[in-house]
Amino acid sequence: MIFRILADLKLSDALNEKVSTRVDEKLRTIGDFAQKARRSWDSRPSHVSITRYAVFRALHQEFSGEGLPGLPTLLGAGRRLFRAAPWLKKGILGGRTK
Amino acid sequence: MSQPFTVHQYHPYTAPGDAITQQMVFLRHAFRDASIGGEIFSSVNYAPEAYQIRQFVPARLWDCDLLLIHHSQGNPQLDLLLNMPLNKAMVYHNITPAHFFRHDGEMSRLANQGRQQLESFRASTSLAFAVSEFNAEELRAMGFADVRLLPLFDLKPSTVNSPFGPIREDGVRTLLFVGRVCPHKNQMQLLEILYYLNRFGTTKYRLVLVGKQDLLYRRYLDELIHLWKLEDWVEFRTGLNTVQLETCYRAADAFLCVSQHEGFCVPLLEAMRFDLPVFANLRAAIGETLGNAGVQITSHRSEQIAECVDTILSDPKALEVILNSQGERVAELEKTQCAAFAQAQIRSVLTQMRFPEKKFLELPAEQQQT
Repeated sequence: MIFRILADLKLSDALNEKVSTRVDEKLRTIGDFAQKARRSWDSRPSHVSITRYAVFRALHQEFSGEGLPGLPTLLGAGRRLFRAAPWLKKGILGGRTK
Repeated sequence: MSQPFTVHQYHPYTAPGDAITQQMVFLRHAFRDASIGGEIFSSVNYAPEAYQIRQFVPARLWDCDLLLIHHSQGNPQLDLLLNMPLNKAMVYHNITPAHFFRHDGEMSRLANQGRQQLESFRASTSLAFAVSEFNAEELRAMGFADVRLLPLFDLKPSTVNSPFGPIREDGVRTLLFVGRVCPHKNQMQLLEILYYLNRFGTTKYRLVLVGKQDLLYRRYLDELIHLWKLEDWVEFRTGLNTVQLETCYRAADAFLCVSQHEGFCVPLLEAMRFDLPVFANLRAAIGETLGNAGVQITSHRSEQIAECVDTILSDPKALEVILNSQGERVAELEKTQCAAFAQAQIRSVLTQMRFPEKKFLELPAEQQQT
């Protein structure tokens, strides 16, 4: 079960079945797509610049806690750098830098 | 004729739009309507003069029968307040776990301090108020002997929707979330859901995120938006007044909440009041606030949530059932989210204090001996 409409469980069941079927039908596409989307976090998409991607990865590590396969050392260093040099964080946020 | 009661309130920080400040103002009005006097005190005040918030000076509290100390994070004045020879009670608003603030040292410290201070409260008074049963249970589990509920605001006067009605555009569905842009509100997953909706949905979707922003987290969301090419479909709005916020509710097609931590979640109630179908997961107090209303999402997978939102919003019969259930829930909550309930709750405490059959404001017996 994906969701519940407690006010009408009959309707809830029917809709859940509909959603499940649609998800099933699209499973391969969605699965592929989800994988592709997740993969896009692990390699730089063409429309994202190298600097921007590096910033994204550092922030992603900070907020999701997900490791980056192959680059844990770099990310660890990035986090340590952020902690050691808070002005860099400020710089990334667009504030005044020294 | 007996002497009138006075109930003062304190919170370290007050600001316009802040839920705790709003509750303090609401309670002061409700108490005054019941002939119970009292002022609001704060150490750092950003609220305009109309809020009538007084600068905290310990000597100003001498005349009160009861001091309500609102607690939501570390309170630098707590030791001073607890040592004052006054009757005190805590109003607990829940404390967001510190692990959501790993990136913000100060917020993390305040969250940890807030949790530690709960113990000081428990040692000083056994009476506490909570804004939801979820929060009350947490306090009871910590050993608070007497925990009662207090409403957050008066739901009744605001039940009439705007005379302008909905202002929805054709072709694009608008999803709304109202809440601080920060990690535990999980706007990151909302973006992911939007991504799936616009990729697989039956129509295009727009996401409107209303609320103050944690700058670093906002930067992270900006990067996700760029990565997923969602620039045209996401709007951030901050610093809105009541009319602008109301416009956001009227312009939306649905309210979507995937927060990881909520002590009550007032925006769920506001959305139900504006007849927006509510989709929410069941973490923390959300299930309690929703009751049997809305769509309660059990899956944590963004693609499934997207499919659920798209399917239900395309089904008029489902929408009708959901909106009816939400109307019933709002009517149910009107009984407790109102001035009369606040007055009854505080009156019972004050009467008990003046004619103490049960001395709940004193230290527990075992602590008195030590």
